[in-house]
Amino acid sequence: MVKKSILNFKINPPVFYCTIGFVFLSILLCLIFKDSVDEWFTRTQYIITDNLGWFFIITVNTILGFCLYLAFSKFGNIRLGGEEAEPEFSTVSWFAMLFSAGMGIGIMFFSVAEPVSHFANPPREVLDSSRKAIQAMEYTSLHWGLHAWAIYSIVGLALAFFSFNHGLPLTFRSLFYPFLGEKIHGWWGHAIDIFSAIATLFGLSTSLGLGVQQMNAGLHYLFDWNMAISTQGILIFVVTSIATLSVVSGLDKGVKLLSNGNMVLAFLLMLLIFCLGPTLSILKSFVQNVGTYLANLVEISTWNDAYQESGWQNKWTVFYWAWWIAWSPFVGSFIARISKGRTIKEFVLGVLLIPALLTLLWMTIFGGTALHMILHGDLSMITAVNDNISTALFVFLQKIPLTAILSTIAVCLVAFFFITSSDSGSLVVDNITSGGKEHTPALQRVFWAFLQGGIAIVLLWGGGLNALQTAVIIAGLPFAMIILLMCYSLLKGLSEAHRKQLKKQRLHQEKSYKEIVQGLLDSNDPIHDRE
Amino acid sequence: MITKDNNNVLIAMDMSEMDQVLVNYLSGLLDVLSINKLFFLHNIRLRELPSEFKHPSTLSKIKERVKERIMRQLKDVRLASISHEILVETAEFSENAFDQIAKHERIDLVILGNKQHLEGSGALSQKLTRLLSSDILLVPETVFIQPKRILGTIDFSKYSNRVYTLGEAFSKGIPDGRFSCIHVAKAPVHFFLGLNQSEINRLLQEETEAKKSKWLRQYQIEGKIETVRADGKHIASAILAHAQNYKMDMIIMGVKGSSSLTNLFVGGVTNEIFHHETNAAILILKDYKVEQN
Repeated sequence: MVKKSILNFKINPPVFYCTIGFVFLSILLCLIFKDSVDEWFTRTQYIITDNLGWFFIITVNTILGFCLYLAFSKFGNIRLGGEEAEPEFSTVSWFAMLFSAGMGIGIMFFSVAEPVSHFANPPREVLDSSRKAIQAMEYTSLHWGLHAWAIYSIVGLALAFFSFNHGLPLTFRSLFYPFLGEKIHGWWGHAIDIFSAIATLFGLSTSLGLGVQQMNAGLHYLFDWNMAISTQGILIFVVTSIATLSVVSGLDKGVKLLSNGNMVLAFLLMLLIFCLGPTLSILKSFVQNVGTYLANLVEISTWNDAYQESGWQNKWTVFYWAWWIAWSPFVGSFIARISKGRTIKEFVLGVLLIPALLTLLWMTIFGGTALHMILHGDLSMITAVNDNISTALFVFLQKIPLTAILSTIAVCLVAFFFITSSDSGSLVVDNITSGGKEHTPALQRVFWAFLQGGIAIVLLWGGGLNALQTAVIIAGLPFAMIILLMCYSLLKGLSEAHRKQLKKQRLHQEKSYKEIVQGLLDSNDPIHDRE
Repeated sequence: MITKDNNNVLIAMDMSEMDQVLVNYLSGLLDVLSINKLFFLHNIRLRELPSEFKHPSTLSKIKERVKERIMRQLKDVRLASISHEILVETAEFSENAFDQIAKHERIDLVILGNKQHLEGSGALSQKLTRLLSSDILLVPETVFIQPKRILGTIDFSKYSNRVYTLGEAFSKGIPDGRFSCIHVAKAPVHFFLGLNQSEINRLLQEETEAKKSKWLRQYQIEGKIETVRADGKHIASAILAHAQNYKMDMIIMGVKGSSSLTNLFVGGVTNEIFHHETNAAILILKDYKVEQN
């Protein structure tokens, strides 16, 4: 299936060419219908979210329920990689890596803007300001909490299980083996891989688009750079070039440095805001936010705006669910790769709880501080968010001591997240479109990195944030269906594995301690050995 | 911790065939291990016995029989000439009995069975390795009674110097004894997402060589340390596989690795050792501060 073609690329032709064809067609249509493209994005987003928002909501809730079922069911003890497999990383390192998977451009972009926006435009009408703030954090927690990680967890689990326990390649078609059988090697399999490659490309491009908007905003605040699509286009090009430089020139230490740098800078920024902001209020609100989130989880996660129809949910909740679904091949592949040797219970609980808690902490520190300012009479944050969501973080940082240092760290962090996302994202798309081939030429990854950047530029130019959100929702929809089918397929695979495990269990007659002691008492010869 | 002279040694007896193996193995170590006093401890697991066994008279009979059995096992071995005490306890949790005796008698070395094929979960050995502050010697029933080939695992942690010193001293005390050292290198794959395997290996090699020469300089050691790549394996598996390939009789290692983060817990490698088969005895060094003094 894997062939070498132009430039010695190692590709799976149907998947590679169809994915590229779809992407180029999308870009071409954007360019041809430039004048009407913005309106088209808005209309399409409205049609999908308005008619299929309920589907996304039911899908993510099903996924979370399924994850919890797997963890506590008879399958919980099945080990990824087989009974003899051992974890490749210690639990502490595994947690650290899961933390890093949870960090991304999104938490930079939305951590201040989202709670403030929910406060200013509440999903459900409440009169009291403090209740508005609680609701704002509740919905932020919903969007960034357990549901998001359940999606990543189920995709990662399915990838790990079929790859490590069944010896199938680490691509998405493998996940349907119990369901489709040998058909996964034909067009059914190609179609699944094409959908996952497209979902990943658009999910990543959205993140890159958001990231570059925010970098531009930061540079505007720091150096008075223009806030324009042209500047953002140049930034995407420059940062993508830096990202690919590490792969091409073998500046391998750079990748390690960036991965570490990301974590260190993110924690530094979080710590500084925590210390320089209203520390006590943050601590109190974190405890309360986690509590109210868990207490109201069922209600808020199934709220469907059925009687009010304000349209708020389509803009936020449905967008997030689609975004996480589109991101899931990317994060899922990473999680699968680091989790060999873990039991299903360990895997699900680790992936659900650890990154979700950290993300909620981050959101409380940033969003909670912004809400604290608003509740104490400073309403300028609301104006800033309404004015431009990507600049909100920098307006927020202006209100905290050491603004220049914090803003510089924030811009660097967005750039670092951009580089690592672009690097790892191109690796994942490359892996899918090459049919799981490991040693593909570096140029092939560079190609995908620039294509992601290209999509982001075109989408920004075509309609900004609206276009990015629509692209993700369009890409997320078919993949949501694929994930639901995948859950069924995983269940079949796990049932089979469980049956095999039971069959293999030997009836082991243990000589009990009681028998040993009884033997000692019965025998006059103390050295008598009992068999 | 094991010192040059007068070590107090505690041997865990569980009334299985393993007991004789431990006794015989320790006898074989007398040339290299100076012993002040031996303690044989068996804790009667009352919770696993029916109520009729718990009557005071029956219990005292059981204790008597346990002591008799251990004395018989000592009869024909060199250990019998060393000052020893046989203790039979009835603590609710066996690990508590061991902990108390280890503290009270200032035990330097605890010898535990590391069952490979014999029945038993090995859970107590694992717990005691975590709990006790004495050095631990894990002996499988398949061990070669007269150790000749000793393997030191050097991870450049604070334990490594002691691993080296003790390994060398042991090998010199044994006729035909040989001591060799390895460092198991493992790449943190998550840092190298974009790299191919050969690049990762090159980076790992460079990093390991730098650490190795720094460590050798720091402790002024002239010996050779071989680097073994763990690749996809756990470090513990790599160590045991190396020991098996080179027919090592004893492995000496520090209880924790060099990572400061995992210093809070028992090391991942030590923990993992219990889940793999081995024919080598494993000496786990625990307290390093006394050694530095």
